[in-house]
Amino acid sequence: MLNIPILPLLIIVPVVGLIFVLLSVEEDENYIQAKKSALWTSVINFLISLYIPFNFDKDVPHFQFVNSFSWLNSDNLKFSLGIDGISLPFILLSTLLIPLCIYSTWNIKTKRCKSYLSAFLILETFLVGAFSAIDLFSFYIFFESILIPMYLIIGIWGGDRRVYSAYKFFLYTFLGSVLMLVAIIFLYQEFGTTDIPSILNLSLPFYIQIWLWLAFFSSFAVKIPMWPFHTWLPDAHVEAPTEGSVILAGILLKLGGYGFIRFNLSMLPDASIFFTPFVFGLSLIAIVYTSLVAIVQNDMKKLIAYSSVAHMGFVTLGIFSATIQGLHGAIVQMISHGLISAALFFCIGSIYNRYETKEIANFGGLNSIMPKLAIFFLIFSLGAIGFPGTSGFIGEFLTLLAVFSHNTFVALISALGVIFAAAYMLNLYKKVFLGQPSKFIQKVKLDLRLNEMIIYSLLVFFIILFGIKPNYIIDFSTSSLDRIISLYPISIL
Amino acid sequence: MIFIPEIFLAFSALLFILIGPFIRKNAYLLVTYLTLLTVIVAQFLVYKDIFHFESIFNNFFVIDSFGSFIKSLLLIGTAIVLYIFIIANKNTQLNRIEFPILILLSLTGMMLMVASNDILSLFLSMELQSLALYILVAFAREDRNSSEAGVKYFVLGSLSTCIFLFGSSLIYACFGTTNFSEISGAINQLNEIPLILIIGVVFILVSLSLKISAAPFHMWTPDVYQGAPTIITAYLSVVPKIASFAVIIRFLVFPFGEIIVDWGKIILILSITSMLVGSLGALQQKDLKRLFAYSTINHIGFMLIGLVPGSEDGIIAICIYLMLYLIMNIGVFVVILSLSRDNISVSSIKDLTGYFTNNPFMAVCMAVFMFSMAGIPPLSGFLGKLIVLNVAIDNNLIFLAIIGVISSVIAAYYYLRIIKVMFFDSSSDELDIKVNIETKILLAVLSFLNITILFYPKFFLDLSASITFSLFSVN
Repeated sequence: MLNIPILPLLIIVPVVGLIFVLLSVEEDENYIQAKKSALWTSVINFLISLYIPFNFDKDVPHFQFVNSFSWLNSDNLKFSLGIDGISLPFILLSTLLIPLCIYSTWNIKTKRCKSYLSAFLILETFLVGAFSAIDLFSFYIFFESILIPMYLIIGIWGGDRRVYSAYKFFLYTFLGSVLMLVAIIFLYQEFGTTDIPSILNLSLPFYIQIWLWLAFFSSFAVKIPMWPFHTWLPDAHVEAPTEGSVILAGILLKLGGYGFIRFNLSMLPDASIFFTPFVFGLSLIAIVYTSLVAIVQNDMKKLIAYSSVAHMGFVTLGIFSATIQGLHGAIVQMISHGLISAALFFCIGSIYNRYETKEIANFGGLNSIMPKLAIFFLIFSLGAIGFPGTSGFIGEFLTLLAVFSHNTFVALISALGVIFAAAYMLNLYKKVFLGQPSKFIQKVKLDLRLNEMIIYSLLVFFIILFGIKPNYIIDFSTSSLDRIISLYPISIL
Repeated sequence: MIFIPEIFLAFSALLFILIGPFIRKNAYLLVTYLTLLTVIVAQFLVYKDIFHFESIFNNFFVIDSFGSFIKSLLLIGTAIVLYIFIIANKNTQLNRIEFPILILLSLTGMMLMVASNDILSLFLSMELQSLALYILVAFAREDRNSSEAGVKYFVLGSLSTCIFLFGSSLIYACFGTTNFSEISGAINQLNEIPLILIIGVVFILVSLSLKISAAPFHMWTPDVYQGAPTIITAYLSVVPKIASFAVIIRFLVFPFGEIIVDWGKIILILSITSMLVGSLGALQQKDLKRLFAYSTINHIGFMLIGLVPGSEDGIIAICIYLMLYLIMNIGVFVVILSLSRDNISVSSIKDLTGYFTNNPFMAVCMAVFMFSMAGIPPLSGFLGKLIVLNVAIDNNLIFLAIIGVISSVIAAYYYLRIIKVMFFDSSSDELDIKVNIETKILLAVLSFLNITILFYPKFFLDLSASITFSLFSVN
């Protein structure tokens, strides 16, 4: 293996690109030069990140591509980056979605375009950093930093109630994560190190694990989000600009699930077993309740936002089932939701750019005007329902399989979520695309542009690829997950 | 001779008073430049002996690296304030030679305060700095708010002085000496701590809390901050705070380190109330200067966490926090100072509306300071919070750490409000765009420090560790 500092490179490249974006000359109102530099930067970053899966040793459960830099004090507080089978798919997801976001702004006039692009590039830095940090403090720093660009993206470029949503997003997540900070410092005091690989080998007494578990939970349950901590999500999604929603649903929510696997499940096994019924209960409520809420929404974005909460319910079920199928299911579900919800938000963005509304009631028969979009939207909807052949199916199937082996009742109720998903997605599709063309949609006659076609085709490609060959995700994580599973007895319910 | 910096400053101040009247044009400007030069020279004099230890003037003062470090922070803070005065001051009432001279005198007082090793010398130097500051607050004579603030500050300052004197008389009654080293020795020989001693310490602590504006002794802060000319508020919010805090540390840790059980709880309560008052009180403020008065109280509460266990780690954390606080707060006040509409200074939050549109550079700098104050990584304010919380948890003060982080979430709300006003709202009533290049360079440097310090904290950590060592090695 060549000794390239691949992870620091992934983190630094967007910052370098940021400088180019800020220095670019404003040629016209469309800021083509700035957009080009941002797009090239993110594409290059994606290509660099492709180096990882081809050089990744699947059989090693430990962290690979490790880079450490001395930080607070040289012995045990380092700034370390590394990657294992759990974080690898998420890093690739981040580097994939950012260029798509930047490309989707191509033909659209955005106010303060340079700042907008810079926010996304800096977001990429922080996201890759958060997924690749293998030191608690470095993780916290990146995890928390994400709030800054995201707050600005929602607040500056968002919709009418953007200020309220931006506040809500920031303060909810901040309150959750400061408690995690206390837990992290406590772990540091307890073990004298914050290096995740070494902490994984240590164990704590049960009563301490409980408190630490709750502290980490407070952070990730808000982030993922679980019912009843989800109320920031619909607001943030609806008010954020299209690309902001894409990143929010596509990657930020996954930080919560990733955190659950990396911290709660791997470091605090006893507490995780203790709290499993609690998490299962919340997940079931999330799946059933938010699905029902999604059915009655009038706003497309809000519908997808609630469906995200329901889908994340499957993820938490899978994670805390603590079996190999469940964890595989959770990871596939997260990646697939990252692609599908991103795609759906892009689609809604396309509609919004043309009609300036997201009200479902205004639409009807849109397939007569935008047939190409109708086809793509159908594929993405089927993915969201969990139709066999799409990646959504694999995630839900594996999760249900794992839960079923534990507790039939839980599996039965969570399977309802799949039916509800079909109800609200197909209903949305019917109301927007089928039926008599409404008068409202006649005012714009413009199907997908080239850049939109490219983005959607790429997303369809990945959704179907992972639907047919989920091994591309699963194989990487098996050995890392095996190590976590070994902490748990066969059945925990 | 070792005691050069303070003597040098005092003589320079006297010299400037003498030569001031003989300069015809722009006397104040020349004197300010000279003062700035003096401060920089004094900085070098402090550096020269930073790792030196000596007690001088019959044990009245002590030179140690802790004191030298704080002195150099004071000098840096003062130098920046003087520099801002030269480049950005719009209040013409301040353009007199007395202004820099008074700053110099108060600085001398503060440096002596930090070096004091005796209650008497501490009292005298504290009076020197306070008297100079009372005049400075009321310096804008035609401005009623400024005079009002001056009177308020003077009355409460005198009250603080009374309490201090009463406390010291009680301590003197206990030991028959006012010298810190002798008190420290006497306490070690006591079998039982007399109640009167504790009461004396508490009185002095109350007086010093008034100086650092720790709640519930913070009442004067918002009014004085708002009424004083902005440049004085900038000075007041940073330099005297650092000096008084250093005095609290030295006073509690060195002679009274033995009775930590007694003062530890008081500091704990001060810390909790300051954090809560500082975060809750600011929520409804409309004036930037008032808001940052509460923000100061909140930060002071956070720093006091580090003092609760009275350990070396805690003092290290406080030193780092003070350093970061200087960088953040000065930056904020540089921005506030440069706000004006039609050449009239403004300072309400509403005036910042749409600042990002008409002055993106300044708005981004302000946002950096705000996020940094809120303690969001990767900005430097986070480092301060992290190290202080680390100390709290190390000493099993987890509930205190949790109160701290929750207060910082509440505080984040009002920092975010400023960002919201600057970035999310649009305004028709725009501020003056013109900001001179020196201000911009200064702000760029301060923002750069705020962004990057988190990536090389080791230097600051080692520095603070080596200077606090001196404080504990005496015992």
